[in-house]
Amino acid sequence: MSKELNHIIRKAVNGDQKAYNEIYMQYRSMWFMISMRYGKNKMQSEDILQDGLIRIFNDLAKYDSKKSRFSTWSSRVLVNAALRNLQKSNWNETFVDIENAEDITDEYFSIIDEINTKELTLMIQSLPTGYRVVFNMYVLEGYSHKEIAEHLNISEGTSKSQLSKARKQLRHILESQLKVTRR
Amino acid sequence: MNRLDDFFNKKLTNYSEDTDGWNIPDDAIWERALEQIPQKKTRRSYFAWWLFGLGIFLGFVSGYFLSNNNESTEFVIAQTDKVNISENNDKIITTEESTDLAFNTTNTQKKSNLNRINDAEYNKVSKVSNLKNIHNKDRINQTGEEQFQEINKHSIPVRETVRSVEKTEVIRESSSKETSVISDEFTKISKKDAIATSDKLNSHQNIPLIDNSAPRTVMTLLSPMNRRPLGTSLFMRGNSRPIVLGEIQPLDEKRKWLNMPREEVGVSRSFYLLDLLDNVDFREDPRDEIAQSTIFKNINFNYRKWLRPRLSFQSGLYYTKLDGMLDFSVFDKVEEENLDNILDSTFENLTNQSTVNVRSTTENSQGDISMHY
Repeated sequence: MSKELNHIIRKAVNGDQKAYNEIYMQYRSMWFMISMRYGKNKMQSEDILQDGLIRIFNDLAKYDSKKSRFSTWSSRVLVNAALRNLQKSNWNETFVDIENAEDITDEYFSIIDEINTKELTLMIQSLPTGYRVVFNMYVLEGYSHKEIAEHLNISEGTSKSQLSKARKQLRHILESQLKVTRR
Repeated sequence: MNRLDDFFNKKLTNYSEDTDGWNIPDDAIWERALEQIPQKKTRRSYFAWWLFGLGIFLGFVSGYFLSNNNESTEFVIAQTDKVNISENNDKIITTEESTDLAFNTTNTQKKSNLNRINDAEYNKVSKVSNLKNIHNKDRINQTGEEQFQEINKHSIPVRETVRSVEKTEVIRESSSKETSVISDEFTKISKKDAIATSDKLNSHQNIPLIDNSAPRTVMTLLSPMNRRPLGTSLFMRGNSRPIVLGEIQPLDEKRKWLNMPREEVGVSRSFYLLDLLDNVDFREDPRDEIAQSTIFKNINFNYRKWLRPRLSFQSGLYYTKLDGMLDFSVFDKVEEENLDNILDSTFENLTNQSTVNVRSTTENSQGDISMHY
């Protein structure tokens, strides 16, 4: 992490609102994209972001630049905020199986590469909550199944299952997208 | 991680802000979040503010004492003799050093009376002036003596000063009452009469520019509490020949008095009467005048509009701090036909009930410097 960012964070820890703003402006896009991946829609994503911002800046003094990068630390804090937000809703009903997801063949990857970030984010948003959360945590945030199981209070097997089914559904969505594109 | 995971990972961890703004959150989210983030105040910031406040306080205190110190030694500035002039102006009662000069006369004469010069009177007051100079000279230390002598070269044209004083009826009152009386009077005048067109003012040609380089004597109304100028001033300049100016400087309602002593901001307006001395053609250049004067911690920017060959109107914004004054004038509209009334009534009212201080201002003197451009 740059010395400049460290300096800004120190000022923010001291309650400097200008430093708050500087940090926010630097990371707002990343935080919002993470929030959107966990939220089912824009409103929920914004709630997640707001909760995450409060948590990040309240816990700023706990951040240790020697242990991790600020982006990594803040992402983790934000994900935790997202999980707490999701737990408010029907958390127990989120980890359900969805069958009949079709595989997508490799030949399509060269084509789906043209799909932009916004469309992919919307695809993830469309996943059922359990699929979405496990997929995000495992694929994008780098949690292990053990960590996911601990965080979500589920078994590792359920985590793997949810991930597998999330992949299948995403493939299904991608294929549908490709079919539309080919026409 | 399989190929699909890599694909999503690669695509969704690019967090740069998109041009269409889809991945930029609404500012309201941040604002709402900020409301719930405590704004911590560290001890250091408290300490810094405390230091800052202490610095300001010490600055004012030291400035105040420095100012007082200088006043006590500035023999140049304050020819502040207490003189009582009887109704007939034929007897000088007393001459003593003071910070105020109180002139007690019983009636106010018209402006035309000022033009009458009484030779006997002149002689008497000249004696007073000499006594005063001797007295002052005894007071000064060796270092200041040369300066004093230099200043005395530009001795005050006492004759004209006293002649101007004749017309004033001045009664010492509290500063608050002075302020109130003067303020009310000028408010009435300024609203009713001080309106004119620029065309009329611009039509005044062939008006000579006053010689600002000469030393001058200023008689002005000052608050006995803090020496802020309150009212009229009578200028007297000595170069090759004496020039007498009359200044009426009333307060108006826009003058704002701050709580801090000797500090104020606002608008000042002045009339300069130049016809107190007969048959003196002292102006040659038909120009309006913007002047800056510095009088020991005072800075003045004045704009003067010449209305008649011997009459100008001056006004402007000013700022004073620690007895300093900054004037800048933009006011230049006065109805010409109302000038006499304005001047007479303002002058009389200003001088009827005020304490008058006489200040001798000399170029490049140590305590009281005057510069004009």
